[in-house]
Amino acid sequence: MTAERVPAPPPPASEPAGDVVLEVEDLKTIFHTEAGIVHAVDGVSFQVNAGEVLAVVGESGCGKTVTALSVLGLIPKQTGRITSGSIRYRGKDLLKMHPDEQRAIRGDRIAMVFQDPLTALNPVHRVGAQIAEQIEAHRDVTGKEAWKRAVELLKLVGIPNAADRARNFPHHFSGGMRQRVMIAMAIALDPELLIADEPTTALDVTVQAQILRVLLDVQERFGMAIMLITHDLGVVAGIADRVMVMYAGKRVEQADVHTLYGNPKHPYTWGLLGSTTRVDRPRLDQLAQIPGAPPSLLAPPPACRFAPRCAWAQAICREEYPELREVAEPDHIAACHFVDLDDWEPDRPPTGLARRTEEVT
Amino acid sequence: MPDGTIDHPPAQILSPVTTSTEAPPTFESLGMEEHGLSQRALAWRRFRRHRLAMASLAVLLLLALTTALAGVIAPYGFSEQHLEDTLQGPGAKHLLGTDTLGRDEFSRLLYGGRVSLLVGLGVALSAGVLGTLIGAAAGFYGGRLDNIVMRVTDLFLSIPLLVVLIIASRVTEGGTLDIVIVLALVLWMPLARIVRGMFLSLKEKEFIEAARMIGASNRRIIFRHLVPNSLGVIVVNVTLTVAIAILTESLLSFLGFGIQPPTPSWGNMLEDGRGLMTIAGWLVWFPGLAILLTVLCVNFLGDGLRDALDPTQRRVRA
Amino acid sequence: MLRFILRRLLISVPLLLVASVLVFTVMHLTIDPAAGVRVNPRISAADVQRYRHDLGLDRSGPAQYFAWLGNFVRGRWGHSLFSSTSVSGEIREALVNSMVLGVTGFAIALLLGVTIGVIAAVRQYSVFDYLATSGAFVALSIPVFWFALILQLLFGLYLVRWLHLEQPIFYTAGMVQPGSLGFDLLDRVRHLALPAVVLAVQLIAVYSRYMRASMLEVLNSDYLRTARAKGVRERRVIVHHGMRNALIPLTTQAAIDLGGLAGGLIATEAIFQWPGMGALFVRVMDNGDYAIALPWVMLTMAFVIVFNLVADILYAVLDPRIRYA
Repeated sequence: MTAERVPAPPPPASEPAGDVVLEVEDLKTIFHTEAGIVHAVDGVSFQVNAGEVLAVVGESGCGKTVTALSVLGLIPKQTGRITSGSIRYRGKDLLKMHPDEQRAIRGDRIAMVFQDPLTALNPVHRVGAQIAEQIEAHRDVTGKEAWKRAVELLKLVGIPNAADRARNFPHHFSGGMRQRVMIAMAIALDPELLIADEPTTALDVTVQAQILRVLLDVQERFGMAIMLITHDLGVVAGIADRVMVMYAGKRVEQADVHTLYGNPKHPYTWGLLGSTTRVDRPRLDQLAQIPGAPPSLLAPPPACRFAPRCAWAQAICREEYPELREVAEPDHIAACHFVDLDDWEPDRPPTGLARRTEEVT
Repeated sequence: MPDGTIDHPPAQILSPVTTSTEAPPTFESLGMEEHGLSQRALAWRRFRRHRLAMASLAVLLLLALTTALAGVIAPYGFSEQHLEDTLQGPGAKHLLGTDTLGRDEFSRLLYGGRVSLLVGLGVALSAGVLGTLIGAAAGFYGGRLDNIVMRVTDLFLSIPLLVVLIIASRVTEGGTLDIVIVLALVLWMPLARIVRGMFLSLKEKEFIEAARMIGASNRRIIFRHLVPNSLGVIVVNVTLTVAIAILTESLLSFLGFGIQPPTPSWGNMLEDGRGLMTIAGWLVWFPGLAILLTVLCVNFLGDGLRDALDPTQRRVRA
Repeated sequence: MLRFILRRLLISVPLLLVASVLVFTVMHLTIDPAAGVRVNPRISAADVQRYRHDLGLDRSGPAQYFAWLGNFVRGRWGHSLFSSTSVSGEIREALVNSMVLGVTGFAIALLLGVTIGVIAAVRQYSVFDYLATSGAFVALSIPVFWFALILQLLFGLYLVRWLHLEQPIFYTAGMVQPGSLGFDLLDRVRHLALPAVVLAVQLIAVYSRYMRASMLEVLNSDYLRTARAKGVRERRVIVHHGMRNALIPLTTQAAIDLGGLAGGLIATEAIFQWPGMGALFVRVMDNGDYAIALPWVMLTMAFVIVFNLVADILYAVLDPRIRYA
């Protein structure tokens, strides 16, 4: 098809169009709760390059969704706020922009796909209208043109009978179809960055693969960067270029996908990887678990936050916070005091370090 | 619907959206459990935080006490006439003034309060028990019983409340007990529908399926699972029924269909005072304010109870 | 949908019949229309008999009921037992008067209630929200008739006195100035104002709370967040997404309330001497005129039933997730 791309507005003239689409520096987001202030994101920095897929991995509550919402400015004012840091889109700090400027970027240059497509779509509006709304919010087009484009987009993401289906309501679709609708809506204006927050979590396993295919397909076609948030490592392996692991509101490891799977350095990452079955490893009698639970983010401990659950925690881990440091390979960083140790692997106790034997509470 | 008629149960006025009798998720069904504190202790703690509700509770208790002790506190009898002091404004001898027959307003207010509070409480409790039993049975057993209950309540809820009451009052004498009975016989219906709705939806929830699966008898399911989970909603609605009962009784009495003189009730005191209100305003201000204050406190109390007993309300205070 | 409507209407018929039987029985047992005649010493017993026979009172209860029913469904509602006015005429006039009052108060309440509710929700915990909530609580706790009386005092007595007026700004009784002919809009409005306010205040309390709760739920919803994520203007988010959903429960409740207006407002009409359905009902209950009472009940019930049906239909129209079998 020829005319698939909606003409995009010219990029902001003041900044050179670099390779880095999004650069987040030392982002801190808090929430007010009845129990006190929760430090959901506590000093996270990362960047997303044009056209790549960055996976953000971590368990529930580690701050990955809040990070995404912070980038888009969707933290409800009554419950939380961003206390410090910068979020630069193509060089311009979103946090310092006028709300109207932010709104212009939201949906147009940076778009988001949410986790549960049933609740994320308005139940009383037709699907085609909701996609058209995305277009009409940022472009000066007629309703008819927007609707036509919406139907095209539905076709693009693989919805059969797109013209008829566009007139349906969200509850007429199955989960996988709904997610395709959300994706169609998000890519409507050819954004440079697509943030996908657990797009497959609410779906059947068989449908998950389809949706990932749609995402990949879309990415190839339009060349957009994707920030994929998930807790599912299988998903990550299939689609990501780089991976960022989060824990308790902080970044604990980051590398390109092969390095992460081949040579993980942070014990939490080991735990994550060890808790999945892998075809290339001998069968496990029991899936390894990471015992314990993440720390409360009301008063985060000053030292390594993973120490209470880490099988190799030493005295220094409980005293000093392990800042992110480079591992032997470039672009591979981990927040652990012992990344320099060679031959340190999940199942092989390192020389010189005693492995903890007592029960982790 | 105003003017003392209702076509939707009172709780729905102040509660979040569901217009139907949908059951809100309960603590248990959400799998929530706080360490160390029983549900009751938790609820009490939440209730304590609602200062208005606490204050209202105090005021109501005080009111109940003073009216119960009306015989002791009131300086005069409620039909004691002082023809030399008719239509006096509030003063030293008669704290809140007198009416056209020289009866002391303050004393009448106390005795009348006793009647109004008794009616309110009596109606709410009897309607509560009746409504809960019938609603629970209808919701749990379903089928024919449920059908009958729904049709009957449909019928009476389509006729404006006041109309039903006025028609019913034609066959009664007008004593306090009669009024309580008549009101209770009508006000149990909205409550029954709410309880029925709760039981209907709770019945489908997984923890009930689980209980059945392990062989729990019907009785056990009802008393151990369904009732405790509905208790919060029931308590809140019964409390709000008190408010409705007081307002309705006073309206009926005002129109002449309720408590008949010489027994004073705040409602018929207003009827007495109405004709003279241009020259004896106190005859209208005081009984009305009494009703307003009482009902307001009951409503605050109901709101506090809902906060305490409904775990699904989100309240994030910045 | 059509089948649903028909089924509902069909079920309503037995409901109405049962209601009519009940009301008839109560009235029949408690009134004797011949009582006034009986008491008159100048009328002989034979004449009383003849009187009763003419009115059909010497037939059995059920026979009387069916006779009445037969006439009722044929539209022959006959005449009042105590005056010679036609029943349908009296009811029609009362209905119109009640509707004027009811619809005015209702419209004001809907407008204000929705607005207050939305603002209170959007600015949750603000001073406005606090005031709106307190106001609603007070309005829900106020005895209606007392509120009406106080308004009468205020406008009819205090303001006139304090401001040295010749006439009250808003009249406190009746629909028109006694003795006036023709239709004077200003006069009508001045009479309508106070009773309409009494009605409106009660409804505003309910509607604003409903709207606030409904709006709050919607404001916290995922689809609202999606709308913002799309970069949609905030005003459109609130109205097109927020209110469009939040209004649904309120609309159905409003439809139901509208149906209830046919029964008039007994207390308000009594106090402001508004000649509506409520006042009519009290009057016929007092004197036992069941020739009027029965059609009154049937008509009011019919309104409620029809509007309840309208409410359900409206719900299905507004919310595409609801479809009736």
